[in-house]
Amino acid sequence: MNANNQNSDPAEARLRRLLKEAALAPELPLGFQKAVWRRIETRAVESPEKLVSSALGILGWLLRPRVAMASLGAVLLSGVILGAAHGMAAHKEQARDRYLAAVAPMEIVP
Amino acid sequence: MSRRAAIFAVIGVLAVAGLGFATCYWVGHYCSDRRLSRQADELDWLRHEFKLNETELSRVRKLHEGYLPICRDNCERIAEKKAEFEQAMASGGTNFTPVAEQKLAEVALLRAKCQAAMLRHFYEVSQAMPADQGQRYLAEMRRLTLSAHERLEQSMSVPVRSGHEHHQ
Repeated sequence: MNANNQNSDPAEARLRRLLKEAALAPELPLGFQKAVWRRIETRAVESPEKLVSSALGILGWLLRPRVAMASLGAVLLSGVILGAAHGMAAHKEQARDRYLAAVAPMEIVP
Repeated sequence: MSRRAAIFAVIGVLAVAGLGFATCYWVGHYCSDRRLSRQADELDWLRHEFKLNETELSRVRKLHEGYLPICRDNCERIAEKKAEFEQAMASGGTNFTPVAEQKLAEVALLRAKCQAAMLRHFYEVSQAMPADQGQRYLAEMRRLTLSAHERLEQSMSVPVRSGHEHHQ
């Protein structure tokens, strides 16, 4: 009897240790999965609406008189600057072609 | 703001901004082009591109004015020779006559002399500029004139092998 007890003791100890470590997973409530899917669907519908309302908010801010005038002014100024820069670049090319036509008329390859 | 009103507002704002931008772009382009064209001079490009001061520019202008009659003369001779060549071709009918071949060779010779005079002028102009600008000028003029022909010829010729192939 004693020998049997001694042999099973390590096994017993191991079993007891395993039982202690084991934790029962709580059972999921009824309808849990359905609820999760419903929440996912609701969020998917909500997010475009949130985006739209954020965009409308930004638009409303942009259409405030001061902000709108400042933005329009920036757009017009950038148009003038870009136009002038492009004009200068075009003039530079024309000036180069004028010089070439004077000194190397035979060499200009179309 | 309702969604519809917002969409119209966006379209309106974009249209106004776009129209305004395009108008200002055109105005800026027109004004700068007109202002710069009023000062048009054949050496404008040299002055701005190679940052020549008045002394350097007047040296270059002297060379330029001395070269123009030579260039005109060469162009006239080439034009005359080309006219003779065209005449020889026309009179030969469907044959390429020795006369036409001779005229073609004369046109080519005149062109080579014209190119030599042009290059000589480029070198003289480059020496009238500060050294670094002169080098840039020469490289740029070479790119704009001779290199254009070289690119055309290279596009039509077989690529030259480098001689570093492995022989089996």
